[in-house]
Amino acid sequence: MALKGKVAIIDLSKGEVTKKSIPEKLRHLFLGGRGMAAYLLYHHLKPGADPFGPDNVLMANAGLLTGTVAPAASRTQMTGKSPETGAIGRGNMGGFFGAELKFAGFEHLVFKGASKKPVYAYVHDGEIEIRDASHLWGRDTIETQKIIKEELGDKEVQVACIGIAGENMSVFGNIRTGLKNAAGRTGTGCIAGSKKLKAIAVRGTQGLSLAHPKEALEYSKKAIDKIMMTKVAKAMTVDGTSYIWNVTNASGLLEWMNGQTNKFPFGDWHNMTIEKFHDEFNVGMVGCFGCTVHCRHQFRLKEGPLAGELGEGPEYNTQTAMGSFGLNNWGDMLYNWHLANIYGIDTTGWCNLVRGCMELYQRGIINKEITGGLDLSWENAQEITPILLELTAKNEGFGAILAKGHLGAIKELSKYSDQVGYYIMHCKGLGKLGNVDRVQPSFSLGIATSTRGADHLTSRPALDHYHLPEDVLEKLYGGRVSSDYRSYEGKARMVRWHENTYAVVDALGTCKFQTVFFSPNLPSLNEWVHYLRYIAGLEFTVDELFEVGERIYTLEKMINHREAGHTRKDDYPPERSFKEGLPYGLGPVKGKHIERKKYDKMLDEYYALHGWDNNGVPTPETLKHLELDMEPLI
Amino acid sequence: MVTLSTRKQPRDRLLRCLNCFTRMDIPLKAEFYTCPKCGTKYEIAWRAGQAKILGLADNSSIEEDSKWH
Repeated sequence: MALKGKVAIIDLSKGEVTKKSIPEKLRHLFLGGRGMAAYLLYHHLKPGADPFGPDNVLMANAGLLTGTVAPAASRTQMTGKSPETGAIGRGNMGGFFGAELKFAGFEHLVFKGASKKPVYAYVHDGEIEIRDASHLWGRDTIETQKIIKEELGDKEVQVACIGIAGENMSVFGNIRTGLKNAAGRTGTGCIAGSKKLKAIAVRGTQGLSLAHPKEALEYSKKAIDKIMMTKVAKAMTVDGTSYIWNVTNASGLLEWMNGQTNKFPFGDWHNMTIEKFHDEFNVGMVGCFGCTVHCRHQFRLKEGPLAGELGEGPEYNTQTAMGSFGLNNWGDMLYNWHLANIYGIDTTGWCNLVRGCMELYQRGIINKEITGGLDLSWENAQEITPILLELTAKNEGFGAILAKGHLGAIKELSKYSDQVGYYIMHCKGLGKLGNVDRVQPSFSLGIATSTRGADHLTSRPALDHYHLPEDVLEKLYGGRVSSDYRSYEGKARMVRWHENTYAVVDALGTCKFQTVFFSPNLPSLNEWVHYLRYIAGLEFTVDELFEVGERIYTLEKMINHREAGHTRKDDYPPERSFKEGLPYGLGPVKGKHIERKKYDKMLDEYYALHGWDNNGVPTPETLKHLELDMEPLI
Repeated sequence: MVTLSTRKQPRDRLLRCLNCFTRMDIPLKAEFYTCPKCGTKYEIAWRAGQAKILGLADNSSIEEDSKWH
């Protein structure tokens, strides 16, 4: 096989590094990135380990194709046992870190144990040094990257690091590289903090040998041409992922005030559009390694304590998260977004918990005595958001409750009401994006069954909204699927297909937004078998590749079953999805909610398709078929 | 053998009605458009030569549920 990156196991307690090659058998079973991450986590995590303790592991996993000529192959996944959920933790980031890690000769870094003092790892051309990071502890994510690059005397060094949120064991602590890229979810930054690992710096000059360079380049060029021809790529080039917001807002498919309304309640919605951002803040567009779309905006803050600072974003996420509880203009949204970025906080999850707490405050379940004097009313969002971000990052005051995450906050606040768990909405302990899921059975099933908790990137079948002809859907999914996004028919098949397919995307390390995620005309399994042949020298059929996705997903499910006891009861969307119809919206949306009996039937179908039992646990036959019962090779 | 095909998609003015899913062919540079089938009125934006829904022209229509069929 052409690509020969190694696995490095770094024991921070002992200061020892062990390097291992990756057997080709594992490449065929798990590819790399998220696939190998699941494999390594399953075998290197001590079962039942405390996620905050030294028995947890933290892994950086570059995709199999990351750093190669495959389009937008930039991704790296950070993985461990999540302090936020107690189940699998995984966050996936773009930028240039993953490619540089590959150029340095490694694909997977497995950090074990814990250092007694702050350290950072310097990975360069086959070598790994553990360096003192006492001078970096307490620094924000942008300062940290700048200082490390300066002290290593090489601006090409790529750094992934934590901010003070991770240092202070806030479960929203994430890992960041560049101005914006984040392994955002499930608290992998908190794991790094628990190990006193402030950063990982990588620099490599080794290059990558491709199996068939000429064909790889030729195929990549055609793939890029195809990507850039699509309407979605054109839209992303100008508006990034924020191009989605106008349509979801117009339909009534955004949740405001913690899902109490789906009609924008905070003034004029025009102030929230990406067009308004362009008018006031945009200073350019940039991309990740190997990307031709360049979907990332850059902006410069105009007012406040950070005025003049350069930031990156926004994303659709920014509008639906920061905008969901009352930040109703770009100035406030960008300031708080940037603040979260430099503290190293997962905005998706954190905003979800904050809006849950604001509804508790609205209903009088919590008050100023509990919030430490903070007025959590919706109209006070501008004032309290930066305060809450700082308190969460420092794990102080009411922020110490937020820093426990959804499960911890519910436990802490339930002494005031048995309704707390209804208003703080989550799946498996992870908060969700601020868009409506309860109209679309596929979206609800997707966030509920996602192995990392309520998550739109694990399986979201955005195609369900495109009203595609049903013969097209049948050809894509291998069975009948309704083109009506409110229908339950075939949606279990649809979700399972996207779960497996996105698991392959994350194992390859390509950007999900340049795949079938957004358009049936973007690359998918049919194209990836060619990438694998030309770049890695690996032969797969489309069906075999799909089965790799099934294997990865099933292994993640096994990890959750082993570590968190997850079963069927954990595969349901928040109760509000079943009980409250949407008050507003266009015809297809208004009044809709998820119907429990139909959801149960859909869940049964979903388990059967995966080969799991009716309790959501993989059967012995499935494990054997997927070769998940084999002895560990690394 | 390289087999990936490319095809042009000259559909930059086509949008789908969010209410009834009818294909709408937006006149070039139009700032407003009404769905010919269900009457939902949209504000239109143009980005990189592509028509794009900016929002509902009449926000009150988001409260009506009679247009779905």
